[in-house]
Amino acid sequence: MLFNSTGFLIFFPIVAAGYFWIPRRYKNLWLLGASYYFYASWNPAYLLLILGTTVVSWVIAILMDRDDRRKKKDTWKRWHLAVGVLWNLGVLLFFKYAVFIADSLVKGLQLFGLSVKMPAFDVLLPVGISFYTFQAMGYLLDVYRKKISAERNFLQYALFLSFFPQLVAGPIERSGNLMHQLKEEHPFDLERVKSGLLLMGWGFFQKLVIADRIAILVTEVYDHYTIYSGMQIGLATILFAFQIYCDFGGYSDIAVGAARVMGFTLTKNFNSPYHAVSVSEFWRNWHISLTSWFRDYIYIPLGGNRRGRWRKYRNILLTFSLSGLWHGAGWNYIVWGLLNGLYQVAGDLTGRFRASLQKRLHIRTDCGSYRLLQRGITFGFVDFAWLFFRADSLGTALQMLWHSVTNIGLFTFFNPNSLLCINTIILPEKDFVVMLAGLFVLMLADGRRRKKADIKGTLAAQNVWFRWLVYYGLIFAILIFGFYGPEYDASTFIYFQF
Amino acid sequence: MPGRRQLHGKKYGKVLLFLLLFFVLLRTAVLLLYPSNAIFRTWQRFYRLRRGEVDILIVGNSHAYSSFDPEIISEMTGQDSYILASNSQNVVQTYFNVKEALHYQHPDRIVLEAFALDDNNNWLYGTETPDRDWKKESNIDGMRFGLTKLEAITKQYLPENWSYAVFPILRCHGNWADIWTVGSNLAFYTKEIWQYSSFHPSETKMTEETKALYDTAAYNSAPKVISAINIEYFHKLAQLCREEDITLYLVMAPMYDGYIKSINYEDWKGKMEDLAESEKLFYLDCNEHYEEIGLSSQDFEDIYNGYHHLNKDGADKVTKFVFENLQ
Repeated sequence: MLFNSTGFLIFFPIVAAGYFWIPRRYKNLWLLGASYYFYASWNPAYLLLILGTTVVSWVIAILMDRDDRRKKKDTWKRWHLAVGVLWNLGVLLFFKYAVFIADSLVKGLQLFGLSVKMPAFDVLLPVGISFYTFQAMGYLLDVYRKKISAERNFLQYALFLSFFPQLVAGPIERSGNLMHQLKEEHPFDLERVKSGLLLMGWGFFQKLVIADRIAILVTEVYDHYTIYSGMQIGLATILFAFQIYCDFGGYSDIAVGAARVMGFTLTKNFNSPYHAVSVSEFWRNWHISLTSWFRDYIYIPLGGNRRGRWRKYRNILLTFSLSGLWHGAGWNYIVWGLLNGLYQVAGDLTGRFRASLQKRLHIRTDCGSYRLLQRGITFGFVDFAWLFFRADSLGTALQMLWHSVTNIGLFTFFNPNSLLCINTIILPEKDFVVMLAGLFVLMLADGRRRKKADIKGTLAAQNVWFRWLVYYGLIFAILIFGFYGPEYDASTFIYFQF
Repeated sequence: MPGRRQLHGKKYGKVLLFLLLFFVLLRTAVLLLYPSNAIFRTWQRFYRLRRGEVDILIVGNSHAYSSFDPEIISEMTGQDSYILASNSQNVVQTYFNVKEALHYQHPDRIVLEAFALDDNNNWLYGTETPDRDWKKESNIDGMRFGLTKLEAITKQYLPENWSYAVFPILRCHGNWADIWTVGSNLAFYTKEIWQYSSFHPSETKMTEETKALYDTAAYNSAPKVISAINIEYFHKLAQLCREEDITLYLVMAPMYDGYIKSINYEDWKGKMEDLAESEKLFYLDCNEHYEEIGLSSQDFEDIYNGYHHLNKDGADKVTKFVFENLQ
């Protein structure tokens, strides 16, 4: 069940109303039932998988807790943790990476002149598998580190792992944040419901008005890149940066908003990432729940930045390569992650040189124009990496780059008779204008958020007619300019595939 | 100081007002963005009629809206009439249309044009091609939201299409870029609606070439089918009219006689007569009175496909004949 489907528009009000209406002791059961129904709507067989992961991680956590209480040797606890982590990694490897590993192995052996035939895998990738297995692993590691004690109530734990707003594409919740909320009562609060609905509305706006509109152009250019010029590929890649942001950011806002309606506070996943002035800052503000997961469970255990410069660089590159691999079973994703790691390493290595250059050239760094330049450069680097992310494969990405360099098409692109040749890339000019207006609103809101402006508070302080104007404006912008309905191929959220 | 209860009441009152205004704006958006078509507009004009304005209601498919001229009816009977008919409408939809219409009007007489019983238009929305579905869709979209509309949807749509039927904005929002549609709708609702006629005769006359095609047509002995669901809803319609103390007439609009000679018309006629008889309805078949009406090939549209809609000349003759007989 996609968030942007009519099914969800019926499902969500029923679940939320039911949650407030039923007696407290049945609330979690209700949410668990709803979450499993939500997940089963893709494929009922997926339920077996999530149930397996739930049971295994729940039992392992209890065993580790018991190891602590009985003061057993750490070896036992480590073994238990290993089993839990291996189960989760095994599930991920089998469903997500088996084909990739086999394929890479065959190709690798071919380099040495060896021909191997691998059995054909035909495994359907279960929706959201990377998210809930990581959430389960995070929980096991937290129990292992005694950050939290194991959850005894199976129902509560099962709900923690399958809570429907964040089940299929995050945010990847930490037990420390969500688990205790599942034990608390969340009475109906009209103001909170309003705030949650507003956030959901903003999420739908990002997804239906901006992301799905950009998707038309980006899909066309990436699918048939040989007929487009380098400038057009560049434009599509710039727009893809916003498509993926609005797609995933929109999803996250809907998820956080839906949870807020019912009284739950989920982790904020994005914080104006394209206003970042460095790649490392970008990553602190992009997919925050995943970045912090990799930081806490991979980067820091590897030594973080504590053991010298080169170890730090190795850890950064390793963490970002793994992050790339997490996103997809393909070399293009690994290269995408690696590039983002390399940017940060290069940034660190050239830090002193850049500082001295600024000093010698008397470049002011405390002004808006400098920050704007930094933002532009950061965006350029991040966007270049997105090309690898969006391309079908590493080979395609490299071919696209070569094609772009050899067919720049500068003069046709800036032809005064045609607005950036948009009409030649399927998307009608009117839609392009709506898309630009949407992006303007998005960047404006992000700019305000970056300055820590309380947008909700500011809005709440306005007269009722103005507030309602904003609410209706948002609702009808989605209803009229959104991409949905029977004529459109309901675009799935990009991160669902991960 | 207002009490807590009063504050709560005020809050929820505001929520209700917000929702109410939302639905008003949503309806306005649909009216402006909906693809302009006669079916949808026939409904919108109907809702603008004064309560009790309609004495005679004519229902059915395209034969109903092309065969009867309300101006002539008014001259002959002194009564006002309205044609609540739409393309390819079958009697299932006709039943719901009459049910909906009775919330706003209480006519003395209802004329059901008998082609609505033809099995040809008996399909579930979503099982046919879009060029047929739009007719059913426009009829449902034209109706105001209510139980009758919901019932009509559940009986005529596949469940996966129910949401699209309840919320037409899901289908028509993409027209925001179509300035012509928005402009045409704006002009219609602000001016043209008051002059809108539910009577739409064909604009062509049969040519000699088309006539010649009928003259050489082979005989088709296949019997006409009236499906069980059409029979069921015909009886429901008759029952509804009885309960509301409305006289229901069954009238068959004329087909071109060259065509009649080429089909098993006896079978079709017999079935219609039986149905009318089962409900003790007055049944008038214009095909039986071709010469009396004074029809010629020139009174029919210029098309060789068995539809045989009347043009203005034909409709004038048929309207006069039918309402002389109904009186």
